[in-house]
Amino acid sequence: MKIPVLWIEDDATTDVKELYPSVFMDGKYDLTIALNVTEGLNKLLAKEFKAVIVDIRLDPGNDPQWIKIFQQAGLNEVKAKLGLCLLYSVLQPGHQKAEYHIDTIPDWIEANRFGVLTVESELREELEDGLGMPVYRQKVPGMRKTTLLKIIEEIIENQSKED
Amino acid sequence: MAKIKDSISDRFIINSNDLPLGVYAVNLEGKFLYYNKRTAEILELPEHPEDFSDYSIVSFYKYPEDRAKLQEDTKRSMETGTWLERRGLEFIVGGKVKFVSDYCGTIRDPEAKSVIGYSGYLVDFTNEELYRRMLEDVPVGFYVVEKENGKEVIRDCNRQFREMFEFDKSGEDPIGFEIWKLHQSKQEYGEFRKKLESIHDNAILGRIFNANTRTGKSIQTVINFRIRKDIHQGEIGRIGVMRDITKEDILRKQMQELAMDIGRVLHGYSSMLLSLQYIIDPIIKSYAPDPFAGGESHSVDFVNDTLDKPSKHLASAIKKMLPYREKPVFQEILTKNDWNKLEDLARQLEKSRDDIPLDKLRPSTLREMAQCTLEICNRIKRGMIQREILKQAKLRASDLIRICLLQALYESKSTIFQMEHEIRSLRGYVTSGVRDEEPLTSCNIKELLNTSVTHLEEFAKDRQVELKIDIRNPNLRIEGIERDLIRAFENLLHNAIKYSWKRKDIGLPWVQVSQSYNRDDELIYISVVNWGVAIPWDEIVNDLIFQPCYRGRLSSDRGRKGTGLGLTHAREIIQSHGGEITVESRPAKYGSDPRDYTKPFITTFTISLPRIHQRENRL
Repeated sequence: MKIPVLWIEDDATTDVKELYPSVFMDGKYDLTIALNVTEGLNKLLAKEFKAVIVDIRLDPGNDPQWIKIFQQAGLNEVKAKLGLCLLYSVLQPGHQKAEYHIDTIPDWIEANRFGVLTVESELREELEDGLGMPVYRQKVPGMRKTTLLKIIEEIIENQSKED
Repeated sequence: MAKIKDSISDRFIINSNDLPLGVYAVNLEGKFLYYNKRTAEILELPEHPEDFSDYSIVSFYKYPEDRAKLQEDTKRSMETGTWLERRGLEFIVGGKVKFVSDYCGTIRDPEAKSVIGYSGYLVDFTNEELYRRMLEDVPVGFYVVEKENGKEVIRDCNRQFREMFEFDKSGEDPIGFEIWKLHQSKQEYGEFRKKLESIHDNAILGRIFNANTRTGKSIQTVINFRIRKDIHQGEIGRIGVMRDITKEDILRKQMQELAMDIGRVLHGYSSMLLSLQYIIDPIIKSYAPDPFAGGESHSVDFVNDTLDKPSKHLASAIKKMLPYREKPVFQEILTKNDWNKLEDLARQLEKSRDDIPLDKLRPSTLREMAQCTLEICNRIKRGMIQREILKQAKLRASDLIRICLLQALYESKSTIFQMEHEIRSLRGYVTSGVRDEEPLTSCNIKELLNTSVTHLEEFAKDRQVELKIDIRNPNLRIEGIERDLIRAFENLLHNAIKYSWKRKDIGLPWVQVSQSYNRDDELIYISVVNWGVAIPWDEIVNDLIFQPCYRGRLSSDRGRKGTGLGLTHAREIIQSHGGEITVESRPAKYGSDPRDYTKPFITTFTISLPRIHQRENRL
């Protein structure tokens, strides 16, 4: 039985598409891809995933609430950081950065199941200390094709250690 | 009213009570003998006190030294019989500071002829003093020039003015200084005076003034001033403010140089991309046979259909190798890991179309799988597996890699087309403010449009978009800068091609360029219409799409990249030519929900430009 993993990344089929093959070929993971934050949240609420990798600068998709948050940030992906907003909304719904309201958050959603793969370098501390998410990788030119696979493995391994 | 000594007559009190300046009398200790209504207002004292002597003028002084000086001044006044003017006294009244001018003289006892106190006049100039202090602190140079004995001299100025012209460094007093000495030369001053005399306006705004400081440094300033005239309209001086823009001017020049450098770099990149376009074609040819030669490389379905056979062939070829795993010497052929990997690869290749979640990821994934297969095959020692079986596996893997690489090359070629336009467009935008002024020419509208369309033909062909052009009035002309007008049309056309969708059932998408002419308003209309990605209504209504660096929320549709400058620049160019751009985006199917942006929309950009004999010189 393959391990279900979710990757929320708007450039999954373009800029970072070379990260996908190593995960597929590894054969252990059933990787679902969401191309915007609306799709990502819908998939999170619909099914349990053992690992979730989130990009920070995401497109809003067509959910009016996400679009409104995006508009309030001046329609600027860099400023809006919808991926970060999603993380706060599911992991710390009471936080001021949790701008998206979710009625019921599934029980399986915990910080140790999440990891971030993003261009930003300055969020590591906030994610680790603030959200309790130790798995963080920065997208850099020439990064290894196995980066995504390694992040998934690290998330799964951390959970095994905790268990 | 309390009894007042005879030395202050009733007539004096009656006459002074309603004067608009403060009148008072105090004894030698400074206690009031009398004060009028205005003094009561200034010092916030009761207008009709029981006893004036309950209040003392000395108690209002802010600084103790002013009190001490009062005694000294009084003594001097007594000796000389003169009145004293004490300007700029600071009084504390009701917790606030007031600036007061005091002009006073001694009072003598009429019988004993001895000095019993002094009387004076108070003027409250708090507001004037506050304005003056504010002027000292404002970040612009304030000055007043007056004519004196046929010369123009500085009559007043603030700290910023003194610092701007370095009077503090030279040790000179600006007050009384002849203003011509701040000009670059007496001749230049003479020209300035001549211009001033020829102007009928009293206020001159935003004039650039190149000056010299008192230490000989050159500065550039912007001055706004008003000419002061007497009742006969003769000029008596001027009052103005000046801002030092020397640093701004240096910065502006640096920015211009930077813009030119960026323009040169972008030109280099653009040339390099053009070269790459020429290189990619022969590389694609060298990978023949090319299943995408028919121009279908953009169709995700076609690409996946094309990849089905070679991936299945490779899977079959691998499966033919797998029986060798049962042989006793299987570990001498490949490691256990490699055998497991081959087995996985065979299965993954067969089911790749179903298992890979997004079609666009399939080519790169299949390429990696084929590469992995080839690497494993290359590890097999000669003679360990039947030669033909191994050869087939390698050939099939190489073939799959070739087809995947071809798809990647077509994708790269498409990206290069787009990048080349974006970079040219960006270069045009960055350098538009720093280019040498170009002459306006008479441009034929048909030639402009045909040139723009020709420039984008390759891009349209690559995107499999048909360009249609309909010019109704081929002889009409516009006055303008040809290069800029072509840039504006190209930007709109490029967007229209980029945001077109392929229609499965109908065939190639098209972009229509139409030109017409309205005799009533004498405007030439050019419209660019496409079928595809919508522009949301709020982005049109709020004029967002023309804002610099703005990318519409649907513009990332299917990975379409951009700078957000194309429409901004197009509008700037059209407006500078006296025209306008409008836009409409509506559902392609009548009756559809106008807010359902997942469906195709027809978007029309319309440019209006005045034809040549209508247009005034607005540039």
